Amino acid sequence: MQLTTRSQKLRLTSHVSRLTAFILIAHCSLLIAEAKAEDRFSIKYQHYEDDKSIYYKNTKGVTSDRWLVALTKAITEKTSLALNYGVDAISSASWKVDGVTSASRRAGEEDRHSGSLGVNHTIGKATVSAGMGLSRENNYNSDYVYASVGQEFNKRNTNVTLTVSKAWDDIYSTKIGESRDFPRDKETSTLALSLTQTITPWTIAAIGHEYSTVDGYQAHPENVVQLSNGSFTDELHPETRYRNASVIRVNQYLPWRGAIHADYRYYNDSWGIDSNTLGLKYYQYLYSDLILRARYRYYSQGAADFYSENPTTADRLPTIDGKLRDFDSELYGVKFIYNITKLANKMGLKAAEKINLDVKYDRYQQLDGITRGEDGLKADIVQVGLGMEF
Amino acid sequence: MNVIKAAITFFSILLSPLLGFSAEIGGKAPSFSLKDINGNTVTLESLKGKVVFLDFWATWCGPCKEEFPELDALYKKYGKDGFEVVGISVDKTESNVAEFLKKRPVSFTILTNTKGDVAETYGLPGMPTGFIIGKDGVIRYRHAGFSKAFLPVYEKEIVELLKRP
Amino acid sequence: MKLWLLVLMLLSLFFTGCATLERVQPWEREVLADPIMQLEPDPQEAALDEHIFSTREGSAGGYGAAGGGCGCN
Repeated sequence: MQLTTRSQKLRLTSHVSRLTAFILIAHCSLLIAEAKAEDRFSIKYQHYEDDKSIYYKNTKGVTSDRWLVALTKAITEKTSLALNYGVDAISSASWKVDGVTSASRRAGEEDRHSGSLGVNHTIGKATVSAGMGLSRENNYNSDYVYASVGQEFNKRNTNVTLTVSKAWDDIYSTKIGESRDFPRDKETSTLALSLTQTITPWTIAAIGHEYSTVDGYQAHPENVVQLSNGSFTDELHPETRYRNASVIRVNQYLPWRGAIHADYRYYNDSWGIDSNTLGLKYYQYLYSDLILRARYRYYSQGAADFYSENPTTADRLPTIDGKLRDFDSELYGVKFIYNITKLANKMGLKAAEKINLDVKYDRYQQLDGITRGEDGLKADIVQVGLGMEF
Repeated sequence: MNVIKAAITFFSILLSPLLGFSAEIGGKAPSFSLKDINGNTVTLESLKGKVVFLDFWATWCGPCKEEFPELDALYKKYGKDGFEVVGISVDKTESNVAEFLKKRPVSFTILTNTKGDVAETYGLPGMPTGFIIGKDGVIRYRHAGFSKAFLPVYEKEIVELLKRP
Repeated sequence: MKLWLLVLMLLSLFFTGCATLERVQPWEREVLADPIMQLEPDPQEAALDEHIFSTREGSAGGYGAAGGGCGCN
């Protein structure tokens, strides 16, 4: 990564100053308040780069830099607050419609800011949480609320949790010369139920189901579909979507300080998409302060009922949303989690009981392109994080 | 016949955990003989005549670690009156206990029960569990979990038991 | 006869306080407390990952990351 351009240098400076600001704020707030057990602070940086658009053929991909800060602070023995703040800087190539650039302000860079605040309270064996959050970018606003109730049974062997959430989104169009009526809105309501059960002192499993309904505008304002007769039309998606996801996961400890995590998700929705996701993670202590994680994810999806690779005038719902097509994807990843508490103590940072530094690299590939026979999207993901427990 | 056999097997498996032993309040505290981190053996018998706060804890248990300095304070306050605190750790790796105590030393006795058999005999409802044993070796109070709100209760119970002959 | 036995078995499982579901005693939880045994060892990573997958694939959710929407590409 060569910092050749001035804008790239400015970006790095702003990243570094943001990081410094976050650390200073967190450090100060923890000095003022009396730190209780289990207060946490975490900061993560992720760099994502893919090589093609998920919408348009023969179009460059997206690069994004994301920062996420999370703070959990106990305010009484039974109550804690959770604060999250995120900034995403996304840059993408301009939208193209087969050589004709649809002059959209979507091209170039955009920032998205997000934040959430939640409160968590324990009453005996039950836990109650509630919170709200929002996300803002130049063409998309989202506000959401959530609440959850969890209960432990059987000497903490069993846990049942119910979560509800609702999001209200406003979608704007950045298409110059936009004649359609924007902003449009979209409402998402979600209900999730999960059950966690210990199986042996070295095995734990969980099952869960999430149901959501989405009502409103669910297409992309800047997406223009070129039909088989050469004409152009706006992307049109159904205004209702019912989504179901069922997940089962098992964690198994291995006697040489290793652990295997396996998870499987079955998803289906009213647009006709169904998918299977298999996740496998292997954790291994290399020595007491260093953990290595190897990861594999396989994903297979069937197309939405209305998706067509070559839309015609007969298609009632023309779309170029590659997310809705038939495809498989794979992910391979490696992560290191390094306990740097002793190192930090030597450097004078003694406030935290535990400090972890994590670094990971994931390689994500879609195995089928938007056009049959072509390569699918490939992405590189690098993430660095710092986590502290007080 | 197969259905009845299956049903009998089912019910016996179902009910067997309920037949487990657990130390009752008002019953004699089960005896034990455990080593401290220096290798010295300590038995429950050796503590007869004292009021004992027997605390089952582990380095991997957050509330257990929170409770430690409070127990240390109680021990320092009432130790001269015949009050003992004995912390039994159920950590499977003794070196974790030694490392923890180096960072956060306490003045009361710490014993290790890596096999967990003493914890099983006492039958802990949760972690930590503190048994307050009277001078006669009988369990008088039991507290599971830890909250700062328990501390005045502990103190009241200890003082009451110290007053008894 | 088999049906009432089945119902009785299910009810007894519920009313005995599900003793058979007390698979792990409180003093046996050392391994389950280890960071590598947590169901979600890194919730921030999970949130960042879920964001990538939901903006490149047609499925979403199921894993418990609460949150709102975005116009992400």
